Amino acid sequence: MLVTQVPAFRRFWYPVAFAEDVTAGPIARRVLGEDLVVWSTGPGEVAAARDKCPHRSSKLSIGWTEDGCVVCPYHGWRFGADGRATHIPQLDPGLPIPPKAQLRSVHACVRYGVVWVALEEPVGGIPALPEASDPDYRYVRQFDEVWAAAATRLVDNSFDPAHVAYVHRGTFGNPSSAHIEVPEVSMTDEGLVARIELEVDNHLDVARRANGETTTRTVRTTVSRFVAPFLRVMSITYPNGLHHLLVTGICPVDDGHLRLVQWALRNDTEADVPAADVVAFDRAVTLEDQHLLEHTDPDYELDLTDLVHVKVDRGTIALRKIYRQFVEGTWPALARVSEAPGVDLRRGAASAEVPVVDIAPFFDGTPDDRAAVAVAVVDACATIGFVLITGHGVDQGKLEHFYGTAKEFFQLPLEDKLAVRSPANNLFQGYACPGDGPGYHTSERQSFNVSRFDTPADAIAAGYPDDIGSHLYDALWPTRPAGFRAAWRAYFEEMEDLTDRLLRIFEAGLGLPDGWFADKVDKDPSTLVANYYSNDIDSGHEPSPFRFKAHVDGDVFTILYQDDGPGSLQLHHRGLGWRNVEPVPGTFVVNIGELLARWTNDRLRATPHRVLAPVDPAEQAMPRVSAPFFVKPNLDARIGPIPELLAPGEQPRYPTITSRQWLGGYLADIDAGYDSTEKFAELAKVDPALR
Amino acid sequence: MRVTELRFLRDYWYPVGVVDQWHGPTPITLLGRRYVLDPTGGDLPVRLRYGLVWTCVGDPVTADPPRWPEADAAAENGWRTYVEFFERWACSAPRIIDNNLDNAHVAYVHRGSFGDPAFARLPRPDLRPNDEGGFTAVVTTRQVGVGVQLGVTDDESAVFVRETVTELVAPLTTRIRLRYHGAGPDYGFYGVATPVDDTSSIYVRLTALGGTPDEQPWERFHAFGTRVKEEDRTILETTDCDFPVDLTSEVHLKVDAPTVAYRRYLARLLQEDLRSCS
Repeated sequence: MLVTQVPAFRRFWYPVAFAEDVTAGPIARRVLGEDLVVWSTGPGEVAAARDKCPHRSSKLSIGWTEDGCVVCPYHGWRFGADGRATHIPQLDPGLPIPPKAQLRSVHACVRYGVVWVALEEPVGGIPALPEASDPDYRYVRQFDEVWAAAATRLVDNSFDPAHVAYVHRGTFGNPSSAHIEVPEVSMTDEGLVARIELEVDNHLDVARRANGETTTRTVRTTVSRFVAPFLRVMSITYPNGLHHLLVTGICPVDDGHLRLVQWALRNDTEADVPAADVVAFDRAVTLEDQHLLEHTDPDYELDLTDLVHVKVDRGTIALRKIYRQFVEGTWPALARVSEAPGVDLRRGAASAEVPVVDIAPFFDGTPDDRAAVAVAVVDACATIGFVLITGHGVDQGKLEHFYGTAKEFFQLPLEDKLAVRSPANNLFQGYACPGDGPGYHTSERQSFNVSRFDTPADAIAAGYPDDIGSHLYDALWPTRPAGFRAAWRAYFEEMEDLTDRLLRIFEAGLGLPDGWFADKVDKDPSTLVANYYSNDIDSGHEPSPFRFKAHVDGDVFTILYQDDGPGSLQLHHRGLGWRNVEPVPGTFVVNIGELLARWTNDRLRATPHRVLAPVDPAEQAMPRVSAPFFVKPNLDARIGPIPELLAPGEQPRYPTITSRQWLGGYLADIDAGYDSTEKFAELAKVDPALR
Repeated sequence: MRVTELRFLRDYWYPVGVVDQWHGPTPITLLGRRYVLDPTGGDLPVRLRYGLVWTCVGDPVTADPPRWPEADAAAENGWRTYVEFFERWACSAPRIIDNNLDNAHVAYVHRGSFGDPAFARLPRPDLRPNDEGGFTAVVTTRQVGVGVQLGVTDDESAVFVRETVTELVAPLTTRIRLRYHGAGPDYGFYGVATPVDDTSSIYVRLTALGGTPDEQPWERFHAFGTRVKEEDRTILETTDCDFPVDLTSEVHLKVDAPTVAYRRYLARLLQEDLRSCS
């Protein structure tokens, strides 16, 4: 097992430095093969990000800090704790910072005077240390250094009491004591604990001084906590009452290197034993370990048959069991979402960390696969309201044809497009340009809109209610480009099929009976829209920093296709602020709308999102196409918290009304100038976190 | 992209030695491959020009390395030319050229010599295509520090207005002419980044001085130039050897017009090369 090949390791905190060492300026650290810059953002506060400027790729770690920001030494770009640029010296004053001017930030914090870093949403790694806040204990800083050995090897060594007699024969071991008691090993939530009584020698003066022992031979009791995946807290109690708690923090630098960040907590005083002696003794011991471990293979053997084991190896055998759970993703602390087949956290770790879920196993996998997909989708929608899906089954040819005709249409002369302009300003059908609709159509956005039927009469003939005409207007098809209607109709059907697949997944993930949504979304006024963002239309509007202002979708959910043109879709992550939803080739973005949030009493989140305009004129001229499919419920569907989903005692947050009432109110609000972007702006006024 | 992935780079001339320091057949590495270069007769073509030993490991697109007008006309115009730097840097060659084309880095990278963060905002350089198939960028900026280099003043805070004309004449070759319009003698640089392999390059700078030895003593000019060169090297050796030729994986500003044009230029050569292969 090589450490960089186990994705689960990316989800733990690792110590990378003593906090006092980052106050002078940014430092470079490598964690699991990724180069990071770590800097102080204020007293006792740190931030960390990939050590690469998004402008011209230089390392920030050779820069400096100003006002809690790290400054790139190449062009002076300044980045804040969240990784976003806060100042670009070359940019004209007043222009917004380009959203792509952002470092890929990682998690960072200070605990116990040590800087900890996690590459992805952390689920553990920092031990509870009650002694750290106990006034009877003092703190002794020891080491921050890199060894040419795998992190797993030092952990293994730390739970191997038998090595003491040989490796440490120069400090406290004695080959004549090589036959030792079998350690007591028990598994814990954080890893394991191993307890052993060991007769040790005090060969060195400094050993006697450090441990306050006058005899040459001591029986010491050692309780070692393993805090998975790579940290050890060793508690040594000497007969004289000295308690020496040694925190061996191990950061996996890359496959062949570890960083040792080690400190001690002791219930004695500087007058009893000078810190220099404590450090000197542990220095002598660690040098013995380092010498040995730098000659081991970084590929740690997980298979118990690979190596010869004896009884005293109980600790290291237990370690291998734990590491196998990391490899398999079954270690309990790892969140359920990471257990699902097809969830690729590395790719999902775009700025907004939207999980990527392969939904195909829901339809062709085992019952366990089905459950895992459903849980992964629902978990993502419950935490951030967004999920990226692969294995969606949408025909690539139909997607490309649809996309191609859409792009071609938008590049027609304006008069051709205006010939199919939507007559309605609240619910679009056909073409809409900047200036249409309140708020929606910002200076750069054009759109084309289509419903399932070409006329309300067709819909009524297909069993839709008589008043569907309030929600579905006559289609307006352009004569150019050729094949436009056929391409859009074909893609519309693909979207309907995908909607059905996603509804089955939501049913399973929420614990609803199979088909629960079937009669609620089958005579639906769902709409397909292609948005075209480009500055090549003279709108007469003031340039806006947004291509689409922040809003929450007023539907069940939205299936979005986006190309990688400039301008970023961003979602509002609770607690983290606005984050980019990076386009991942081959995926659709699925985000929850207000109606599914209401059905689930907000268990699934309708997350605010927006689209930023690029700042650079060259990028503004480069078009971007995004194509949302808004899934809407039947007009007769009842919308309100589903009683079966309410926990005992949970109060419904919404009344139950019909979709007809809800959509009617939604359209009336738009007519009154109160669209979803205005609603969001109202919320943001009272909640600064939303700005 | 890495230089070894840009196959068309093989078809250009690169300096691999300094004539004065060349003593018989010498092993060289170009674009990740090893060769032995023998100017007296070997497999690779050799040109001795501007004090450098040049070779090409592909089908040369031009018969000779790009011209250096300052040196070619030195007898008439009195320019003095030097091989100022010829040294190995631990970064990819396009990053060096990118830096040569980038006026905006001066304010920060060279804040210890002739840059000043107070002058970070620059106008967008004017760009026009040039005869070599590349482009020429012209920008006028205000610089501190250069008084020493110009031999005009030792006061490094004195501000000079200068016009910088930067020409991209081959994928890894630039010519730069600096004009002070009478406030000091002009000078020019001919820069090549010889692509040794994906992660290292030979940084080559030829220098032409327009002033007389009294106005513009070489030692003083070179001492200042060495400080500046080390400032660049410190930063460039931290850059990613993967140089993107697309425009979406990095952020660009309008002041970056020349380096954006450079990416488009490389992308075009790459496409043409792929098309000719298929």
